[in-house]
Amino acid sequence: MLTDPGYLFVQFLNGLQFSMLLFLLSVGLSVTFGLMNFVNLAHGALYACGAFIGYSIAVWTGSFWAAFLLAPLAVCVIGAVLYGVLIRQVRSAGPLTQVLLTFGLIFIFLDAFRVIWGDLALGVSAPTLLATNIHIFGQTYPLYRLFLIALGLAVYLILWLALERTNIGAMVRASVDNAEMASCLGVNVERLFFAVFCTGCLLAGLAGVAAAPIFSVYPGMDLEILIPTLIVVVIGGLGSLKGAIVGSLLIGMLQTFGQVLIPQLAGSLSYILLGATLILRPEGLFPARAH
Amino acid sequence: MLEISGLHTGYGEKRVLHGVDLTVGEGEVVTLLGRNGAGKTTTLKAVMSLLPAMEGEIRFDGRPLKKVKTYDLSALGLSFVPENRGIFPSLSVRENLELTRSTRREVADGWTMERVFEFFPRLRERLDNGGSQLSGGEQQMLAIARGLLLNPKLLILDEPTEGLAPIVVKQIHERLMELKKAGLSILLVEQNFGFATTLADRAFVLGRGEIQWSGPSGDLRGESEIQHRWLGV
Repeated sequence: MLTDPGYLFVQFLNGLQFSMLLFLLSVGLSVTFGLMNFVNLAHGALYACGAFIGYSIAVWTGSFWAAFLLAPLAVCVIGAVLYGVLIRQVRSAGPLTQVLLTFGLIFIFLDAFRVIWGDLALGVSAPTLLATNIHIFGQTYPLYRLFLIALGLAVYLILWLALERTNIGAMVRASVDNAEMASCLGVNVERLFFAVFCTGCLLAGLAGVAAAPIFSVYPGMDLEILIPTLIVVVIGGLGSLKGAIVGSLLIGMLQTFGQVLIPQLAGSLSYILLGATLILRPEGLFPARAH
Repeated sequence: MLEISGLHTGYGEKRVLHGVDLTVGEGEVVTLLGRNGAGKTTTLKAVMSLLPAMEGEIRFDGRPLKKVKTYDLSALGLSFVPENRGIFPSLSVRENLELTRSTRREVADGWTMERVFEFFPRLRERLDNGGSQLSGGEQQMLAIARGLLLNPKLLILDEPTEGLAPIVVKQIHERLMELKKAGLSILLVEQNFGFATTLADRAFVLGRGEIQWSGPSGDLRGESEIQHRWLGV
């Protein structure tokens, strides 16, 4: 089976699809971290929010596409409220306070999910348009997963254009480099941070609703994805789009092929890579802040 | 134009400045001199609202800056070129310059990219280089050019000659002299005594967090006691 090219290709696609999910989650986390040294551990909870809210919208409207469009916006609004009510207060309070606050939020969200949606895993079906299999190398593969890969690549392209080809993108990169200098040149770094934070929440929500048809929706789904996402951020390097995509591909492929090729080690492979990165390149592969 | 009166500030509990008084008039070049650690950069940081004034007041064009945020100062006409030059390494030379497009003070007959390239021709050749690929002198030119594109009323420079070769220092001196002739107000912090006193109209000597001497820079060149005691010249 392991020498069957069709089977390996399917695993490659699975790895790519998982990588794209990790990318959608890690990019917002990485850029907010790079911009303001702010770590939001509740980022995974926002991903779960996207999945749960998407589930409800899909049930009410009967349309996956309505959920796909509205759930990320709802998560973006939740993120903006969290920012206004809580996060803004601890912006200058140091990492310990920020970690405790956002760690606490994980449990508040977890209980909120249980109260509103219950403990059981919920299923969301893929939209009819994409709920079909295609044939590659004699294997069947769900079209929806290919859609997820395309979605990740499209988001990467849009973010790349926004960051590299617009004045606001240049302001974000400048602020990651040296926030004090950027503000001396008239950049309102706090407002920029808010915009980036909300975009990160939007993408987390998008990841959640997009993942719902593949994984089921249940309380605790956020913790499962949070750890690999944080590993991606550390390996890729803080604050960089390139770091987020490369880190996501590394972890996504490593986890997928690890489970196939060396299942005994699969659980530890990401951590081994994390440890090796921290020893050899403590700042990650592509840190945005050059030294 | 800029009036600093009785300024006390510092980092956390530690006070660095104990009542600094300093003024820069319209079209005037003023230098702030002092040894390492005297509080020169701290004074500039307070002006740029990067450090809060614990006591005392800073006014610009008569307007108190206490509640003004750093990012609003460029629109008021303050432009700051910091000690390490503050070039963004992730941005190209062009992007470093264009960053000021939406934040600068709008004036008729202001600085344009074209004028900046006439002023520092070297930058035109380096336009598509990354900010981190420039030599120290080029970085300093870029930092000053970027500061000028904000169309400032007052240009604040923190040790523009630090670490530069004598020939580059001479070029920077010529350029700043030209800005002075054009009527731009400049507040210059320097360790290079000759550079600063030949450029500035007035000088302030900072020591132990207070102004120890002030007067026309020509007079300071004759004050060997002050120079020896507070500047180590």
